[in-house]
Amino acid sequence: MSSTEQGTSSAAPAEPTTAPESAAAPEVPESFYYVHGKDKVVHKVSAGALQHSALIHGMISNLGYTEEQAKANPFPFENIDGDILQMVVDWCNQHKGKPTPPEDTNLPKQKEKLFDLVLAVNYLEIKELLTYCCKQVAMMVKGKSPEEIREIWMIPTDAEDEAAEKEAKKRAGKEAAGETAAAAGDAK
Amino acid sequence: MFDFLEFLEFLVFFGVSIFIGQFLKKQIFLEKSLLAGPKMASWNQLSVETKQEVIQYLDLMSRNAMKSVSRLDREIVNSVDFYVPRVRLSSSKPEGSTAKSGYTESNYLIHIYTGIEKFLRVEIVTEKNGVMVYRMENTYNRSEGVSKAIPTIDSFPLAIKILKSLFTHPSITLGALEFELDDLPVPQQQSNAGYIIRYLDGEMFRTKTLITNYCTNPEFDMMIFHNILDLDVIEEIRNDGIRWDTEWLHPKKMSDFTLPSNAETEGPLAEAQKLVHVPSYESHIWLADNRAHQFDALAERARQRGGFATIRFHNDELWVQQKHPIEQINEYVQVKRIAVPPCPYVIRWNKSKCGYWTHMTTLEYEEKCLDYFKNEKCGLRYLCKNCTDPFQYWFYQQLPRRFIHEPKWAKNGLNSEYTEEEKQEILQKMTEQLAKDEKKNKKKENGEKKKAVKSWGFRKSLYPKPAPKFIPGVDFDDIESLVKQRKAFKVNMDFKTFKVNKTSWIHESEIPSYAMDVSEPCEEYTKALLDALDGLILRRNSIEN
Repeated sequence: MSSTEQGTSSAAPAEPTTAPESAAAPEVPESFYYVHGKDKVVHKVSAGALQHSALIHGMISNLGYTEEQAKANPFPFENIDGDILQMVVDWCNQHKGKPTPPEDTNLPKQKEKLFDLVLAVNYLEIKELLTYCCKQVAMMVKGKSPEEIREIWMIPTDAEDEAAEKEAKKRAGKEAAGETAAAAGDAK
Repeated sequence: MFDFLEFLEFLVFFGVSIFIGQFLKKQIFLEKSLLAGPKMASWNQLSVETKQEVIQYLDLMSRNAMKSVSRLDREIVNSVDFYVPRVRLSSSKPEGSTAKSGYTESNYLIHIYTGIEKFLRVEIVTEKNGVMVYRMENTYNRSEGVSKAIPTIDSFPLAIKILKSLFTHPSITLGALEFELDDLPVPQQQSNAGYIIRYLDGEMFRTKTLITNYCTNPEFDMMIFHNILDLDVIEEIRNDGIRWDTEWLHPKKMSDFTLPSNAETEGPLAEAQKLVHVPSYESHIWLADNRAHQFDALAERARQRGGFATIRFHNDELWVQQKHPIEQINEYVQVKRIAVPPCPYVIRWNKSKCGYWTHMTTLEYEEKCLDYFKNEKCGLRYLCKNCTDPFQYWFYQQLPRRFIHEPKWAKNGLNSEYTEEEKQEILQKMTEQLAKDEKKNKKKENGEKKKAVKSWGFRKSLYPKPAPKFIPGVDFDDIESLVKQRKAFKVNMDFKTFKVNKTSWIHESEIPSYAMDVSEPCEEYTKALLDALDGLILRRNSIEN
């Protein structure tokens, strides 16, 4: 389980790694860390690029995750698809040590990818990229009617929600009743 | 014995454990949500905070559309603040109407400025059996927008209800709310204000500025101020007017009167000022360079009205001509002060890197305003490109074009000395000037128009419907059937019998509490009110139902 690996590796005592300056001076070698997503493909990312992610940056700087430990145990993000993680890594590399522009036209236009990206970026706590993604998501429904928004963002209506809730309650009730009956049968 | 190092170690361990705990919790939550939801990521999987961030980037109409998507989404939209720079309600009497026609026959315009060169227009035009609603985005041309017929409803309540539905939620803040209503007698204005209050039904606008023009009287302003505005948000009241001219199509100068909120003076503006806690301004915007230098007249009016008069954006010649010592009153502003007793006025010539302006007031009043003068960094207000908000600057630069783009609606022109023919001539020249200006920017505008996506409710349908037609309205002659359907009331008012459409009625007994809270009711008022509300007042004891 990725979370266990994460816990073990992060608990290991080590000297705190200070994050290098984003525009690294040539004489100071840049540190690199490794991440992988659901597809287990490992991506090598510089510490400067990873500074965009508050989550990873926090892990590196607070838990003292050294480069050697990182190489042996890449940060596992099992909940992020490989192609989405690749996008995030690319974005972080592109914007390493640069001021972020007000618009980013390289974000995916397909809604499925975009929502996956939002989830991943939100999880990795990359504030600037989350802002771009949110703007892009908002643009998807510009000029659209409520029905169209529902369709684009796959939002159920209140009636559908209520029906699903009722159905879930019914199912839960039946399951509970079944368990009670089974327990009573066992007792007999 | 207390071991500090051990304690420190414990603290570090404790901190690390919490961090790991939170990380695991977050990951488990995310994995659970991914397992629980559909395979494809969608809106419902986003956290509330992320949804709020997305909502923050929606435009006004998309926000409104989102409110209708689901209850949860409506709550999320309502939890995100939204700012609209300016909203205007204008009225226009149809041709041939009389003063007695009142507001019910008027046409109304709701003009919503959503940003620089971005606006939405809702025109509500009274027709025989109801109203036509025209909606346009970034254009004044009705044929480029959409239209809809709404039977058996009056234009005024509809306009107010639209404003109420769009802008009274606590999450919405307006930069300015402007009323550009017809020049009506005071009682009719008061009754109009009463109706606005009535239709808003206790809802309030959160606006930073209330703007009216010379057509409205202080009583109207005060009723609006005290009854429909959130007094914690309002920062100022302004009364704007424009002097037309053919010289320029943008403001060249501005002369105005200012009454700080602590004013203790007399005069019509001051009367209103006593009732409010924010400063009032009365501005005349000039489109010509050579006609605004009426220093004596302005100074005299400042003396009569209290407060101080100011001419903003005059040229440097006037500054140079004043042979008086220069005083640096703060880091930004130099002043030449002229006070020559027994003349009761003080003239303060100001200069900063932004431009020149002059304050005129009385000796007595200067002392009261000294702090204000000393702290002023730029006195050019919204005519200064460097110091004012970009929207405000853009808005006032294009304000004179209102007479060209929407001559039927614009009422803040102050050229009462011109005849109708002269006004038409000026308008013609302004139109020619505008055509020249627009020719220069044509390419740019076309490019932008192609890119823009129209807002919800303002775009033409992909499946065009037949031209809007009025469905047969309510037959008011068949009163019995209407009463049965509860669509109308038969009202006996003195000698006449009125048949009243239910959608717009207001009870006579409700009027005093709304409409008479500033002026004492008098015979004239009641008569004018009855004229204004002809057919709309229900008398409690005579409703036949």
